[in-house]
Amino acid sequence: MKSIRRFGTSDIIIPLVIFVSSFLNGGEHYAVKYLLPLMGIIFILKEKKFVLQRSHFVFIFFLFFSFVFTVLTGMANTDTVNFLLWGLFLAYVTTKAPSKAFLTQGLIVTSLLHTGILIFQWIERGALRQPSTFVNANWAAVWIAAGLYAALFMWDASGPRLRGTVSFLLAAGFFITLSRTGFLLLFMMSLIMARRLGKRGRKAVLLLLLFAVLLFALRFSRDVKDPVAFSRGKIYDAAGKMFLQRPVLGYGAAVVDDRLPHYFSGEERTYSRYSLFPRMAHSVYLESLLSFGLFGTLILGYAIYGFYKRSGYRALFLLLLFAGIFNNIEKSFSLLLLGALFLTVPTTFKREEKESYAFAVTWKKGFLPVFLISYYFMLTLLSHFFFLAGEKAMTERRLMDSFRYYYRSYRILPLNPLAAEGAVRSLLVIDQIQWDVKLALCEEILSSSAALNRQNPKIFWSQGVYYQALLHSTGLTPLKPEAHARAMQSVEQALALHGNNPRYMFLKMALLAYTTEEEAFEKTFYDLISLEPYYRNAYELMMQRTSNEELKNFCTQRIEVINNIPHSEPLNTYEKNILGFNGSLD
Amino acid sequence: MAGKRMGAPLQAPLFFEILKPLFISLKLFYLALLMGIPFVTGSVYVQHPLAPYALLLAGLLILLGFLYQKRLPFPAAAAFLFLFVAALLSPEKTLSFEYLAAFFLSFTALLVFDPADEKLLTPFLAFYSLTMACYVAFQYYVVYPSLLAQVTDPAQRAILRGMRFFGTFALPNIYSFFLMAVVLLMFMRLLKEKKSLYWIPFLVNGTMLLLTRSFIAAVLTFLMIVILALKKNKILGWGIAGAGLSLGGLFFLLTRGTESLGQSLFFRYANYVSALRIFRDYPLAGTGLNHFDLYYPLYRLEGANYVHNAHALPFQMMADLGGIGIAVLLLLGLFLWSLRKSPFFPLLMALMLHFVFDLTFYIPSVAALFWAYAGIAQKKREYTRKKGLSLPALASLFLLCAAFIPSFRYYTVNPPHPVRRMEKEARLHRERGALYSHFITMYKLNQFVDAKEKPQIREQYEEYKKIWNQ
Repeated sequence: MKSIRRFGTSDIIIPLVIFVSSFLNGGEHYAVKYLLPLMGIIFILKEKKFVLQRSHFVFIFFLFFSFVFTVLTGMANTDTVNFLLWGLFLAYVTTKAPSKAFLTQGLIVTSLLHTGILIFQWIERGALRQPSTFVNANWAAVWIAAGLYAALFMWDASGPRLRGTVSFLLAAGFFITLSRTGFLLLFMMSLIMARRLGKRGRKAVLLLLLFAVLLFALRFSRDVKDPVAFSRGKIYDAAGKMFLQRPVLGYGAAVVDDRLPHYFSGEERTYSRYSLFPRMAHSVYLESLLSFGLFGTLILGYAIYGFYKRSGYRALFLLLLFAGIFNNIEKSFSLLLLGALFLTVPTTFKREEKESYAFAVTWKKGFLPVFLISYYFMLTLLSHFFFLAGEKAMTERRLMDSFRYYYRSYRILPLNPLAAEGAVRSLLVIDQIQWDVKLALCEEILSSSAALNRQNPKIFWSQGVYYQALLHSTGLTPLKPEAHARAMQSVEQALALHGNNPRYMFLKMALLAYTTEEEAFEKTFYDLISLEPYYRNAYELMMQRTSNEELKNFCTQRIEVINNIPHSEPLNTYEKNILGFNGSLD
Repeated sequence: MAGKRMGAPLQAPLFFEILKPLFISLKLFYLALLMGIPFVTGSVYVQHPLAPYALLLAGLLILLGFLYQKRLPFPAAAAFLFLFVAALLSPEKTLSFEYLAAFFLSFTALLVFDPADEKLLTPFLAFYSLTMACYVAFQYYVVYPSLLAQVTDPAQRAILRGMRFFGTFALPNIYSFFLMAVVLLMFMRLLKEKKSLYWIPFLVNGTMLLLTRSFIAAVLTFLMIVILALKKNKILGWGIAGAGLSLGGLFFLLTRGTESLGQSLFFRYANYVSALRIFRDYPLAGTGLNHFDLYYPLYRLEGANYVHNAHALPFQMMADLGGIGIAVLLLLGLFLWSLRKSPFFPLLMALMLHFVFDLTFYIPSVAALFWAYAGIAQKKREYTRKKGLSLPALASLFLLCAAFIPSFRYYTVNPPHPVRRMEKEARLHRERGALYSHFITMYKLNQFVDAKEKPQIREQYEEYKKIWNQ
């Protein structure tokens, strides 16, 4: 109560909720993603006044500039809207001024709890590299690293024993994550320690370094068994190629997921090259350069530097910046908010400083944005629930229900391509619906979803799949010539956005099989098998289609090679699918 | 120095003195043109080809308003901006600009009328309403009998038989809105000055209101009169309430009957349910401004009537614009709330309630009255004394000019209704052999078209279905 009186309700509650959020999928749970910004908005109305620095204005300019740029260049999707709204929420968080002691203790306590969960997970599952309640282990490592740093250097009210015990426990939790990012953070922390303690703390520094090396060695030995983990270099290569295409202004907010796979050159596995596509750049800096270009990144950097200058938690924030070199830590909402919190605590407690501007908030001024934003988040939440219900119904093969839920989810938030895709997927397999209703609904859902998500190749591919289903059906002969032309257009659009996707390539091949374009069909076949030499369906389709005996023999040989692959080999699901060991991929 | 600033030369008192009578005459002419000049024309809303002239007049008034540095109040400007952006982003621009242009015509009144105009506008309306009453009598006894001999359509014949009066307006409901505004204004004047000639327009228009047999306007007028009377004198208020309830109820039962009223209420209920169902399916940003018209046949309840709007501003807004529509409603509420201290607040409240229960909001001929009195109800500003260029005034000018261009284009080009456009598209697809596109367009047409108006589309669709599925 005393703290609330001194610092203000939201200065205590917002950080508290951020700490709690780390236990809900590291902030990725809908309860955090949709309800926390809503809570912030309500607090905005509750507060009579809030103070903005120049950095806030720069940051808000950056947000709106990126948003408008993304919309105007036709790259916007659901996440673009979320980017703007969550960005504004982050800006709001940076207006808070929580007490240093509260923040430090909160960080240590939550890190300890995560450590407890990690130890439990390790015992329960019998393996290292556990993520606690985060989506991945690296994020847990970053959170605990921040806690460890706070325990070592910022915790005032503790004796050496307590500090030692807590630090040891946190280090143990850190170890269980087996994170390479964690190794880097430990290395950095030992450097800070060496600088701070000087000659006195040589042993402690040495111990920390030793621990870091041990962590790295263990992870390295794990990586040798699993070469996929070494694909990060290829991801950076893809990001580099993508960046060079648009270095100045970038691609727009929240577009990297859709576009990065196009630049990926594949990973070397025994029977496949494209079982995985990177969905993120695996570096906050690369992600920023890709999304906002040099221009946007510089503005963002300038805004953050402004906050950083007045922050009392510079070292902790640097730790997060360091962790971001090889990780997309911004994808964890909790870590992002934690970073914002680190920027809020001033070096000395002063609410108003030079170059700050106080704003009064009244219901009259605030009700409209509050209404619009809260309405949007409520719809998002509702759409999310319907989507989950649709997925559940689909798993249970309740197709009609699945369609209803997906369709309702899509209707509530037409920006979400996943709901649209789910609705079409379930619609196509339902027999009870009349053919004309089915086709018209599929057309409507897919065309409006494609119009709203112009950078999402999967939507265009889904469109192609739908037209292919129409071509495959009995009857409807008069509609087929145009449906085929539309299908080709859709698949070309999908390939223009993601040219190295074997599934898209195979769809193109399947569509060309309906035509007499032998040359194009063969070319697509060769393109496909150069991407995935073990794509069984490609060979089978070519065998059915071609009259060239040499080519037929080649296909027969390849199918034989595929048939001779022992099923006992360690194959992932994708490989099993392309080899035809797990039913068909297409 | 002040003389060199932008806008400063316009502040010379002489300039404003010269311009003032012209400005006032233009304002009244603009209103008269919207409402219809009896014996000369109907309202521009009825006489569609006249609308561009009314629009040009509105444009001129906006420019004059800018010279006086007039500005739109924030909530109303924000509501207008939302509607404008919604029209620009809507899938069927023709439908959206039909409403936006109509709204623009009436909304201009908010900018051009100010507190000083009340002294002229209320007497003008009193005189005008009496002329209108004469015109209605002339219509009833001279025009309609001759027209009855020519018209064969049963709906038109029912109107012409003079069952319900509507003057220069398009429908009795619209005329009743006008009458409600005039009756309330006259009553407010009468409460102020008892010995006044305003008794005449009050009684004449009150009678005309009953003769329109419009339930909503009559009830709202009655309620507001009771409230105003109660505020002045409790005995008078309760007396009016008792007498009005018994006599008014009896009158409505005798003239419209319970069956007609019941059917009307069922239709309203059905329209509202359909609008809410559209909203349920399009909650984010709705179907598009004025797209209720297009989507209604898809959501029409069994036994319900065929309509082109939801007959209620909130439901229409929700169906058309989803969450944005709710925001517009909130803004309108906020705007009305900001005028709560004005003596015209009860009048504005009654007019807004009429918008809520009937869709007169987009009918410029009468909605202009709401916006004109909203302009009058605002706090008096010293427009002419202000130095330099006012930013809100410039923003208001910019917003209205931006909306003027597409509105003018709509009234001059008069683009085809989406259904007619789709019919043409379907024909073209068929001629080109693009049968998949033909199927999709025909499917949409079949959904959007009013089965009662165009049963042939349904029949055509069923025939094509056999061809497509060969």
